[in-house]
Amino acid sequence: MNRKAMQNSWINKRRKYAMAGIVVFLLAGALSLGIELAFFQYPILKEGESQKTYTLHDNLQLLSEEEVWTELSAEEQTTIELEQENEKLLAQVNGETYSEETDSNLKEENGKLYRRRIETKLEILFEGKQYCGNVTLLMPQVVENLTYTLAGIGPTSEILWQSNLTELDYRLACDVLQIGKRFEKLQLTIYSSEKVTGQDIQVEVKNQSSIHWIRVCYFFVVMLILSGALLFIIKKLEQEKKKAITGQEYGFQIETIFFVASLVLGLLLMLSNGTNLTGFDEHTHFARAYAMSFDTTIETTESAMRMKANDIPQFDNREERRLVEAYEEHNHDFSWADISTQSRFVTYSDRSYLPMGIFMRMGRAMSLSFANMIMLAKFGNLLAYSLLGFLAVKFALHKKEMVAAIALLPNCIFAASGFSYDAIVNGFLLLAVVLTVNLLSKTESKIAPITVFLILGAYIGGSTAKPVYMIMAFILVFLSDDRFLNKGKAWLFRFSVFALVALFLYVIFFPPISTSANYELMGNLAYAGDRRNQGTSVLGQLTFIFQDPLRYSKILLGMMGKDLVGYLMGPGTFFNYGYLGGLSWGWTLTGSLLLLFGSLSGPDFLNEQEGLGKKDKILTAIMIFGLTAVIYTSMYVTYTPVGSAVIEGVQGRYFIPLLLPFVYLLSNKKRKLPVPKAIYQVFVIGFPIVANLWMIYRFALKP
Amino acid sequence: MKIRHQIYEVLQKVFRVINTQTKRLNPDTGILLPLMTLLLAILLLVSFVVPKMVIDTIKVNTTEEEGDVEYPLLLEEGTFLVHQMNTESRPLFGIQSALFKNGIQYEKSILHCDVYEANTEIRLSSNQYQLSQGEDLQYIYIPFADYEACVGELEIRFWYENLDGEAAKPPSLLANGRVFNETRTFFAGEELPGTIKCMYVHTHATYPLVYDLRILLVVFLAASATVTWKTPFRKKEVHHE
Repeated sequence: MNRKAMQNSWINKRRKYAMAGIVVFLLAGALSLGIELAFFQYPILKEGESQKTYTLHDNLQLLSEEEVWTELSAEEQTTIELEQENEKLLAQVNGETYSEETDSNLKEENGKLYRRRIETKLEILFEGKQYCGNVTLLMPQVVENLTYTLAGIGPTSEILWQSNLTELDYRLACDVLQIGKRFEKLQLTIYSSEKVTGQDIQVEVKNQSSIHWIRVCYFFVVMLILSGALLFIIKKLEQEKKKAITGQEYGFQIETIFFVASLVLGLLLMLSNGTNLTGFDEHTHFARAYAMSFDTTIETTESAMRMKANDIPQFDNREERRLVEAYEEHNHDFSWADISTQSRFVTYSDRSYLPMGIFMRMGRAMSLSFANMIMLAKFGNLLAYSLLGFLAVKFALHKKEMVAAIALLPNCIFAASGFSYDAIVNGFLLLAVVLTVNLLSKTESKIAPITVFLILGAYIGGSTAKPVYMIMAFILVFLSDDRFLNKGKAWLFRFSVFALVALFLYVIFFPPISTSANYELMGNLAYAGDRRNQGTSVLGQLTFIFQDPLRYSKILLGMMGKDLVGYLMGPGTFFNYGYLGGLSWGWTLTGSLLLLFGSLSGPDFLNEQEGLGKKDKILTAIMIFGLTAVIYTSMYVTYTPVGSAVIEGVQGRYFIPLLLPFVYLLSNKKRKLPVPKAIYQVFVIGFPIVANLWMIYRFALKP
Repeated sequence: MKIRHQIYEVLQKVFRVINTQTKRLNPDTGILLPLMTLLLAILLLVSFVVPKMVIDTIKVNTTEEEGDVEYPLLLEEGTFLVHQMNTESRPLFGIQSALFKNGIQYEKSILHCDVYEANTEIRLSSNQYQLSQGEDLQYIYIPFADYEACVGELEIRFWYENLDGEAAKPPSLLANGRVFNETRTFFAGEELPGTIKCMYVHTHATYPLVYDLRILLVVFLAASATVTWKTPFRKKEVHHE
């Protein structure tokens, strides 16, 4: 075949693929829109679109308004006790005699406090059965602690459906409940401290069809992934046949699959979550990213301030989302923003927030709405994570599929699609482990400076936010002398790596003071300790450990053993979306088995280079055990009250960076699986993708 | 098509430059990396020797926890508000205290703030604040004269001097029910079950570049260990024909 003919054949092939791609896209789009219309919009349209507002003067009937005694929550009881104590204190300071004022709205019975509240029962009587798509309660003046329940009543006055006791958001003065059922009447019960019948209470019963575009996108992605997996298997099997004939290696880039899957899953999750704060301590991460998006003068708008204080309204459905986003937009006004200043120097602990900060700044520059600016900032995090994961999978010489599978775990995707530094930590450490294993497996070549920069750079990037992970780099100390020009240089390298690890561990206890904040706290172990937990003290806990190291060893090993079983088989460890929820133990167990199965064997190791040697495996095992012990100990020292018999605050996500070394530790090139590589790859990479898709549908997609 | 080719060519050039530069970091890099390491070591030394002095404000008691309330302490003439604290080894540069003027427009009256060694009459610093300054309900800043001496266990005494005549009512300093770490506050001789609302102002040296420089130093040192050193000192090979 001459050159021109080859070129033509290549062009024809490309055209064929492009046409097939377009057809798949169109089919997937049409099918997902069809699902939305058939399963979600048709029931609404079948009932007929309607919208009616009921007010106290119009069909909203007042059934009763009476005083009732409701039991106070433990939190409310503590607040009242504290207030009383302070009044006593104030009287003491002012030299007055304290006389306890009895609040006529409170009474104590059997050691429990009850508050007098006004229970207002309202009713809407429909003409026949009425389909209630969603019900909006609107109260122009929300009094403090106003709660309500809504019940749907059937023809024989039986309760067909009832909402939980819900607090009406005082910032929105409005709440929307998604129901989708037919009732004869609706009964609204409001509990308030003052009478509410004087104000204009409105109840809007609406049944309107509107296409849920995020859900359509979701189904579109599901269709594409299904067809993609099928095409992948077909193409791979074809390639393997060709390979058998020609001996030429054909490849389907797993890193590209990872990159696309990570971005798509993260985007779906991000779009569904909007401005809801669903991650642990997400508001504090937002605060750091928000500050990072400014130069020296930080302009904090009311919306940003509320978000920083974890006080931004959250939404449960699309109607509420519209209200919340309108509220946020109204309060995102820089003309009355709070002004504060910061140093231009970006301190080391804040550098992991750079992608979020940069994208948030871009969002502001583009005059995006508050909600869109937030989502763009989250996208910055997701993009950075996907790029790091892409590089990790691309550079991996061994177990590419496992690297991609770990990087696609729901915990990782969740961290990447929200405000969190975990994404940067996980991304860099995956890359660092891959590069380290590559270095260790190429036993014959000398180490080049560029390799040192890349590996140490990745470890530094992953450990800046959590310095304890730098222990993972310690394995480099054991590189043999043959990898260097002479023994002297080998020892110089070892000393440098040792110094690097030591420097990172040093900053855990003595953070560098680069700004004017908390000099005394930072420089003094007696004060250091996590503020979220009472009774913590770094110095106190260290003293406790060293008083009887054996006692602490028992606590440590006991906790590690107990948690290991829980992490491998318990619910929601690596399949967790923060406050949104996690999957059951069945998923964790399947994931753990796949991890084990994927680590222990593979379909074709003949083309793979040798993995870790015996010595390196022993060192990896020691590193995994040592780092786990250090993670537990660091939580014991900083987060757990002094002398506690359990270690508090340790979470499964802390061990994600250790999963890949674990895979390499177990890998064995002698065991060969009798399955085609394509099937193996689809299973290993497909499992976390399916888990993510299911979790997005179950936890994140709002009705 | 032309534009596509041009973009392709530009990208090719960029990759070529990156490739060439990357190759330079191969074992034949020679003396470059050790020199960079040396430079970083010098910079690190300079950063240690020349620290950056900054004001360090420590919030002692500026907010109320849930259920706590702030209350005013009326500084009538002859009444002392005494705050005892320990700076340990750090000199106290000044104090910021929450002042409530009770809506009075002062002209000449003064709020005194003297620093003594705790439980002695040894005065270390004598300071004044003109009440005519600033707005009402502010954290006023009182810098301490001879602040170097204000170290260790200190007693800060606030008192009011009326120079505006009888019409001027005394101002108040605000306090609340939280007792800050090992401090004691006395008002008119009685110990308060709380602390005045204030901030301590210290100065301290910071080393903003040290963290990065020391990490860069060890990374460059590690990279230097993988350099062959051969290039700059390589002897010319003699060919015998």
